[in-house]
Amino acid sequence: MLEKIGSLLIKRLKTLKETFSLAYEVLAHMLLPSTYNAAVRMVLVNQIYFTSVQILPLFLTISIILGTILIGVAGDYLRSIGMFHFFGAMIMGFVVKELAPFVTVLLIALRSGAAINTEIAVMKVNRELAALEAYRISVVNYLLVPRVLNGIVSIVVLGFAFSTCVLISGLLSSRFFFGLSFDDYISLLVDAFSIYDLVVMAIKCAILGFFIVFIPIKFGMSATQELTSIPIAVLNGMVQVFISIIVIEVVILVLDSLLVKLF
Amino acid sequence: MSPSYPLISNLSVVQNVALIKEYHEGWSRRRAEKYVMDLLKKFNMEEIGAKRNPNLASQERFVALLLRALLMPGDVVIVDRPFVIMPDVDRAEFMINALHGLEEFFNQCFVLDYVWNEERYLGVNHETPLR
Repeated sequence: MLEKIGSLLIKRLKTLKETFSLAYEVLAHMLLPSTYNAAVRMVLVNQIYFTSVQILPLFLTISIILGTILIGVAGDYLRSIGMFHFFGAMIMGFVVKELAPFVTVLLIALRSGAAINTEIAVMKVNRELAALEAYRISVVNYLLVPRVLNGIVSIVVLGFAFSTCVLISGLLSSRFFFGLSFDDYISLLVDAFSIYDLVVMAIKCAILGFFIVFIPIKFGMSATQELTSIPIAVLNGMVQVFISIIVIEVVILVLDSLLVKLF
Repeated sequence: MSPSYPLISNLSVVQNVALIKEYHEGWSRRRAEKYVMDLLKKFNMEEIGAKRNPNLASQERFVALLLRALLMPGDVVIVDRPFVIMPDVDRAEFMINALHGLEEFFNQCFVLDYVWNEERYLGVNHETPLR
């Protein structure tokens, strides 16, 4: 029994070590200008198009609908308990800092994370990764760096796009539901605005963007030569993505609370 | 080149072959793809440039794999089990002609194949020796 637990623990620790060493390798290569040759730049452009541009109509529609409903409901509740003066703080602190990264990362993980996981697993099964290595094309440089960088850029940009849409739709819904004028709404937001919140949001988006792409790639690469290993790799990868989203959210929330208390 | 190292399935033939020049020699995409299209013209196969691996006939796939291998830096080309790539082709003439058409890219060529394919090479080897 004890032996089984020990061997399982060692196996898990080995996997974790491999994951972090690959993550380190990706980060190190990402910072090297020599990584970005014509082929890698092309992959990066394509990935940003597939992840950030193709999803825009759906993404903007969801953010406007969600923003309108959320701000309407939250504002109504705050008014009913006599705390409407916290309306601006609620929008900036909760919607921009917490909700925007979460919804963005969820949408991208569902769409692009699953696609990348499957793509890499299929490439592994087809021996296309072996072909790249045989032709001395670095899998890290050619496949991982552009995809992971795209994850970071896309989540940060789409996170800010989500916040902007929510703020604009909030302007309309607060006018419709609560009769707030444009000036009142803006002054509520300006009072609650803090650069710190934006920085936290950007850092959170970047970290989430890194992991929701890196983890599916890692699990895609764990596929074997059998076709049946593809669904297993995708399933395991996506489960790990959702676990990592929760862990990152909790860790950043705790760190954020500690920093706010300390300073 | 080998059937064990297939073309990348989410890239077209021209992108697959051009990737070698783009990655190893820093060529721009436009330059590399034009170069590859010119090579495909030698085989009257320009139309396969935009095709992806699953849509290729076996001889087209062979040419694409051969071009990709030949664009790698080096003087030696090894053709591994060509009749695994072209199972529907009976004789080696097509391969030999393709290699002759691209002689400027290599100094030595080795073809590795199963003994039971020996008949497919009979006559061809002696009539058209490669360097």
